[in-house]
Amino acid sequence: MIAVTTSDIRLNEGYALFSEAGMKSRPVTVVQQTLTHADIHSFKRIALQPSPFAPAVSRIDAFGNLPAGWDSYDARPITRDAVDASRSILYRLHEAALDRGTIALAPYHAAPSPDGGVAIEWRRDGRSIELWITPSGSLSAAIDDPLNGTMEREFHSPDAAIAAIEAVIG
Amino acid sequence: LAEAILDEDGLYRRLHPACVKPDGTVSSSAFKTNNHPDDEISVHLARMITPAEALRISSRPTFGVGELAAGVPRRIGFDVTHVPTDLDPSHSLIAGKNTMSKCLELAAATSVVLAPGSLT
Repeated sequence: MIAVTTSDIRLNEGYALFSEAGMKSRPVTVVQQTLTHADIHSFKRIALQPSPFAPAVSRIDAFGNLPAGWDSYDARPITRDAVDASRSILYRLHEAALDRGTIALAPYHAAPSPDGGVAIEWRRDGRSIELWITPSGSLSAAIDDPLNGTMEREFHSPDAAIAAIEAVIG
Repeated sequence: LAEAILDEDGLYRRLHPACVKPDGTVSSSAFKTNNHPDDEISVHLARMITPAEALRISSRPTFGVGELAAGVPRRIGFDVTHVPTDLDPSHSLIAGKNTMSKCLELAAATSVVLAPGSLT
C-alpha cells in the first residue's frame, strides 16, 4: 500500500497519472499518510512508469499555452475547458487500459484546433476515430473504417464518447 | 489583379508543427476555421510563391507547408478564389460551409511539401 499526501505527487488530485514523471503502470492504493522523502522516491520508481498516454497528455497541456493566432492565421487560444475535457477523456481511457492490460487505447495523435478546441485521433487495424473537443468541452467525432467510410457523431456525454472510442479501437 | 485558379493549381497551407502527424500526414485541424466571422480558409496560390516564402512572409520559420490541388475543395462544395493582398500577392481563399468531414477530406488530400523545422 502506498500513501501520498504530498504536493510533489498530488495523486489525491488525480494528477500524478499525468505528472512529468509519467503515468502509473499499475493501480495504486491511496491512504492518507505522510511519506518520507525515501518513500516518495520509491513510489515514483515503482508506480510511475512511462505510459503510452503520457506524450499526448504533455502535448495537450502545451496546447493550453498557445497564444491567439498560433496557427499563423487567426486561431483562438486553446481553452482551459478543452484541455481539461481532453485530459479527463485520456485519464478514463488510461484507467480502462490499465484494467485490460492493453496499450491499444492510447491515442495516435493530438492537435490543437483553431477554434480553441483539441482534436485527438486513435487508429487501429485500418479504423480510426478523431475526437473533437470544442472550446466549451463538448464532444463530437469522425469515425472512419474501410467498410462504412467516414461517419460524424455528436456525443452528449464523455461516457458516450469513450464508448465510441472503445468500440472503434478497443 | 486576381487570377483564375485552375483545378490543377496547387494551394499551399501553412502548418503548425502540431498539425503534422508522426507519419507525415496532415491533421484535419489544419483546415478547421475559428468560426469567426465565417468559413474561409486562407491559402497561397502555389505558382506565385515558394513554400519557404510562404513561411517567411508570416515569420513562422518553424512551420511546415502542405499542398493540395484546388480541385479538391471545389469537389466538396467550396469556392476557391485568388484574393491578392499587398503583403501576399499569392493569397487565395477556400470559402464555403465547412464541416468535420470536409476538414478530413482536405487534410487527406494534402501533402507536406516543406516539413516543420526545415528552415531552422
